Order: sequence, then structure tokens, then C-alpha cells
Amino acid sequence: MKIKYFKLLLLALPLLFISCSDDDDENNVVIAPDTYEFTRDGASTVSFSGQTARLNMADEIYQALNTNTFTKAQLLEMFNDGTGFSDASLNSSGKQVGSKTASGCSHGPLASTKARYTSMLEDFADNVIPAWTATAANGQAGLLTDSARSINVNANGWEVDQTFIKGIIGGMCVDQIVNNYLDACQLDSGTRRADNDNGILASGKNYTDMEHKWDEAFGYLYGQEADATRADLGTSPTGNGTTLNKYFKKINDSNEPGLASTVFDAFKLGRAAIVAGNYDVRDAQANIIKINLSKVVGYKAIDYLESYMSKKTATPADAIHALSEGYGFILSLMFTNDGTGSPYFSEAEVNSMLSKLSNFWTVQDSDLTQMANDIRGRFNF
Amino acid sequence: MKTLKILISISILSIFIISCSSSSDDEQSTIPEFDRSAVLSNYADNIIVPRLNNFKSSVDYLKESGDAFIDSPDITTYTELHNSWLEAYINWQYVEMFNIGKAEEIMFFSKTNTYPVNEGRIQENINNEKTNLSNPNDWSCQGLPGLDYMIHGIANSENEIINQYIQNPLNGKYLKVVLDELNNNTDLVLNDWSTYRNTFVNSVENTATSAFNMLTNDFVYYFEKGLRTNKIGIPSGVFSNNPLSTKVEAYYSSKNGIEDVSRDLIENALNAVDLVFQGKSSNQSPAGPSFKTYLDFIKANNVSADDIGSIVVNKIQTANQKILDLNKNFINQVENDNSKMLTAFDALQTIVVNLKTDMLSLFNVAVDYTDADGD
Repeated sequence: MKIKYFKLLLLALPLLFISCSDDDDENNVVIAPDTYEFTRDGASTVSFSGQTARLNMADEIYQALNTNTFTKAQLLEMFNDGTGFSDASLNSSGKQVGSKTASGCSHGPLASTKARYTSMLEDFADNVIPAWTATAANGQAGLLTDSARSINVNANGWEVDQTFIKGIIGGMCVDQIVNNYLDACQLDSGTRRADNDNGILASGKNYTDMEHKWDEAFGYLYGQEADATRADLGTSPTGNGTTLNKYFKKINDSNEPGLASTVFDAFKLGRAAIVAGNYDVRDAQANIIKINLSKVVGYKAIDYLESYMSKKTATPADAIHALSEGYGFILSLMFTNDGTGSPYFSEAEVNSMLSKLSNFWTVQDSDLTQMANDIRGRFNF
Repeated sequence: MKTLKILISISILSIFIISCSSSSDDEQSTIPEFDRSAVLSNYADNIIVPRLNNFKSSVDYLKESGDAFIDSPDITTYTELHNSWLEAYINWQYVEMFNIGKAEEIMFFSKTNTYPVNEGRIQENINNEKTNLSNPNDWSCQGLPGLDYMIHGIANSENEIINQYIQNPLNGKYLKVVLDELNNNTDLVLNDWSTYRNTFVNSVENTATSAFNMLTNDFVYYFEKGLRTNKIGIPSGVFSNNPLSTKVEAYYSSKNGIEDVSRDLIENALNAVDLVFQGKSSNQSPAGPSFKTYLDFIKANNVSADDIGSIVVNKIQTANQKILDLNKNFINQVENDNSKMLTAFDALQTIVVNLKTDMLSLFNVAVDYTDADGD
């Protein structure tokens, strides 16, 4: 009798502990599914078509920056208005890349930084295209060729397709994930938490707003996967597209094997936590994603700075190509998030680095080495 | 024996219950309570009501000079009208943020400062001799921007404008309608404070409808929307694809070379925010109970590591410098060197983050407005 009684008491103990925890954690146990599939009443609740559209738009703008056939107005139309693409479905999507560039809600619109992106497009149309076959030199846009590749650069030596698209990796993809959709300013905005708790769905949709915000973050990373529900999405990202997923895969294949699974698992568990109404688990997963996607930017910034220095004697055009990529990844550093809400490098710090990179013809190796070391130190690589 | 078991189990249970609730009790008991009512009293008595009185005086002066101009339109009465309009517009910068009580009820800020104006609709209103401006579509046809158009925009120079009033009395009629509407609205809002004041200062509970929560939200909303977005963000193209120089505040006064006042208006708006934040009735007066003293109080109790109060004060100084870097004529600034507008926008935006994210969460006040965001 006595033993039985204490057994009962022991059984009751965990219940008591559960009741002690935060109100939000009524469903304490969150179990992630094997794949990124979530349903309500038998129908999927996952949707990120808007993110897929924007990633495809970024790809088309990148392609446009590799030809001399677009006008300034056409480039700006694609970026700002989200129209003028060869893929007609993009033109009717109602989405734009420009409005989601440097605009994460945790920091709000960064107007001067966003102007860097439009300036690149304008510079390309105004100066690079007219000098398409000229020989590039310091102060002269034109063609730069070596045994490895041939590139079109602006008067400062930037290969604009690279500075732009690598900048978009941070300015749109990473920023929208880590400083927007995984931040409280989206997830918990307005009545979203209460709505999620009470199962109130977005108007005409099968998902709660909070579920959808999380999926939109997911979409900026996986939106160009042909099948985002496959079981090996975590271990084997395809690297499709020209933006984040491409470098996410590269880092997983080189600098940090396992990073892709870590991020994928966090996306799954965090989404399951939203379904369960467990916001502590959700936020812990958000932080894992924020830190690990930020690392992709950090690794690539270092890689390309160092790659430039190692290539510049034998293959100067290939080296400038790498430095252009590095410029875009350094620009992207201000959009990272170390899990506390702060970027690994502030906008002011990034601006200071970019000013040292403003003219590739006169850039100093000592500055590049210093930057690479600073980034390594800040990320603890 | 059975009773003992129950007693034991109850006592064990109560340990858990106590341990559950005690953590939150501790948090509350170690932090002395901040007197939110003192902030509201300081705001009501030393800032809001004096500012409204000030605005009311300038609206009276504006109405008088408007009547004088309508009676005999010439360069003397015109200049007086312009000066009184500017004085009222500057004083307005000190009250727009208080969208609470009667002001909220009658949509005072929408009626007084919606710009850009709807030129076509104003012209229709003039021709139709419209006297009732309560339709929301008429918000962009009245108030200080409506007067900007009527005083500086119905023709392209002072003399031509004066001529318009001499030749077509309907212009004067509509000008009077707009002046009367502004005057009546101002009376309504100011007079209501004599009774609303006591309700206001005691409404400190943490609910969506308490005066403290609403005023705090109004302040942050004003800073984000009325100040940052309307005065700088929209004209500089932050929310569109291209800069929109016709959307500056007090557009017609600059456009027709009467007087460049857009920068003066935002300078005063930022000063108005600074004074409220620090609880000062004027730049010379000492700081009183305010959002800043509340933040300082929270900081002193170690809840927050960051000194948000001082950070905001410093950032307002920085933003003021960026605003002083701008041309007094915002149309020229946007059209010739928009990057300085963007720099000013950025300086204001970083304050938005401190107010909206940091301050509201430290006050435990929920944001009562949501930004639209597409997916």
C-alpha cells in the first residue's frame, strides 16, 4: 500500500514540473517529423511559392547581368517591380526582390544599403554595357581576360553580376530568414501568437500566420528544391539556383560537413514546435538556423578574399571574379544574426570594410588579410 | 495514517506550487513599481495641454490672417497669411503625435496633416462650394497641407496666387471653409482635455486601451510613420521604386519659391519627439517623468543591460545632424542628392528599432499596430 502510494506520487511528479514551466509550453514534448511535411485535416499547411518566385527572379537578374542586352529601365523593373522576366509566371506573381532587400523587420528598411543594390544595376547599364568590349583598366569599365576566364567589370574593377548576386544572398535570402521571418517581429507580430494557440487560420488559408511565416523562412533556403518534402533534403541539398542554397551546399560539402542537416533539423523541429505551441523550442531552433546560415556568409567571405590573393598573379581576371564574390559576401555580413539579434558585423563595420574594397585596382592585400582574420575571429572559425 | 499521507502529499504539492509561483513573485517584488501615472501627469500638464494651447493660438492667428486676406487680398495680407500658416505648421509638429482621446475620435491628425493633397478634388471642392469636409476623401483636401495648396499652390507665384483670390471669390470661400474646419477641430480636441485629463493620468493599467499603452504606441507609431515615413521615407523613395519629390511635406511653398520649410518642419518634429521622450516642456526646462526616466528606472533595476534611454537621446542628436545636412528645400534635395535623404532615413530608422523593439518590450507594452507585409 505504501509503495503503491509513492509510485503514484512519482508518476505525478513530471506533471507538476510541466505545470511549472511557461504558459507557452503547455505541449512540452515536440517531436519533429522525418520530412518537412505538415498537414491540417489531411491537407498540407506548407506554402512558400512567393519565396520560390523571388529566388527565380534573382536568378534571372543575375543572368541579365551576364549579357549586354538589357537597358537600365529593364534591370530596375525586374528588381523593383518584379516584372519584365522571361518566365511569365514571375511577372504575374506580384512579388519583388527589391522590396525584400535590406528590409528585415528586426532592423527595418536600410535605405542607404539598399541603394547599393540599385546603384550596381544602374552602373552596369550606364557604364559596363557601353564598354562591353573595351579593355578594362583602373577607371575604365571593360573586359578583363586571362587563361581561366573573361569578365566584364565596371570602372572600379567589380564584376557586377557577382557583387550583386552575392549581396542578395545576404541582403534578401539570409536577411529575410534570420532578421525577418524567424524573428519575433514577424512570428509574434500582432495577434499571431494567440491565433496560433487558438488555431485561428489566416484568411482563406489552411495555415496559421505563424506557421506560414516559418515556412516563408524555409522557402528562402529551400524554395528552388524540386521536392522539398524528400527525406534526404537535410543531408543533400541540391544547391539549385544562384543564391543561398548554392553556397549552403558548398559549405556543407567543404568547410563544415553536417551544417545542412543541422539547419534542416532545426527548421523541422521549429515548425513542429509551432504546431505544438511550444515557443521556447521554436526560438531555440530559430537561433540554430540564424547562427548556421550566418556562418555560410562568413565562410564564403573569407574564402573569396583569400582566393583573390592566391590567384591574382597567375590569373588576374579569375582573381577579380573571386574578389567580386567576396565583395558581395562582405556586404552580406551585415545581414547575419548571431542568435542574440545582432549581426556578426554591423552595418557601420561592413561599410568600413566595403570602403577599403571600393576600387579593386588599388585594393591592398594587407586590408584583405586583416578582413579575413577579423571575420574568422568574429565567427570563431 | 491516511490523513497523514494526504497531508504529506498536499505539502509536497504545495512545494511545487510555491516553487512555481514564487519565481514570478520574486521578479515583481525585487523591482519596485514605476509610477506610470507620474509620466502621464507630466505629459498632460506640462507638454500636451500647453502644446495644444500653443497650437490653438497659432490657429487663431492663422484664421484671423486668413479672414483679412480674403477680405482684401494683397501682398501684405498674403505675407501675413503665409507667416501664420508656417507658425501653425511648426506648432502642429508638437501635437501630431498625441492621437488620443478626442483627437483620435475625430481623426484630428488625418484631417490636419494628410499629404500630398488631392489637387483635383480641392479644385472640385472650390467649384462646388463644398463646406462639409468630413468625408475621409476630403482629408487630403484640408488641414495644413490643404492650406499649403490654397496659399502657395493654386498658381505659380505670389502675385498670380493673389490674383486668383481677387478674380475668383470661390477660392476665398474654400480657404475659409478649410480654416474654419481646422479651427473647430482644434477647439474640440483642446476643450476635451479639461475633462479627459483626469481619466488620462489615471489610466495606467497594462491593457491595450489604457492611456499609457495607447500614448506609448501613438508615440512610437508617430515616430515611425508620421515622422520617418511621411517626411523622409516616402519622398526619398524608400517605400517605392523611385524618389517622389512631390510628396514632401509643405510641397507647394517650396515648389513655387515662397519659402523652403520642409526641413524646418521635420527639425521641429524631431525636437518635439526629443522633448516628450525626456519629459521636458521646453529645451530649457529640466527633464521630468517620461519614457526616458521609465527606461532609466528599468535599467537601474538591472532588467536590461543596454541603456536604451541614453542611446535614444544620442541617436536623436545624430539624426538631427543628418537632417541639418539636408537642403531646406526637400524637393531639390530629393531630385539632386537623394542619398542624403536616405542617410537621414537610416538615422531615424535605427531609433525606430530602439523604440518599437526595445522600449516597448521593456515596458511590456504590446504593439497595437502591424505593418502590412506580403509573402
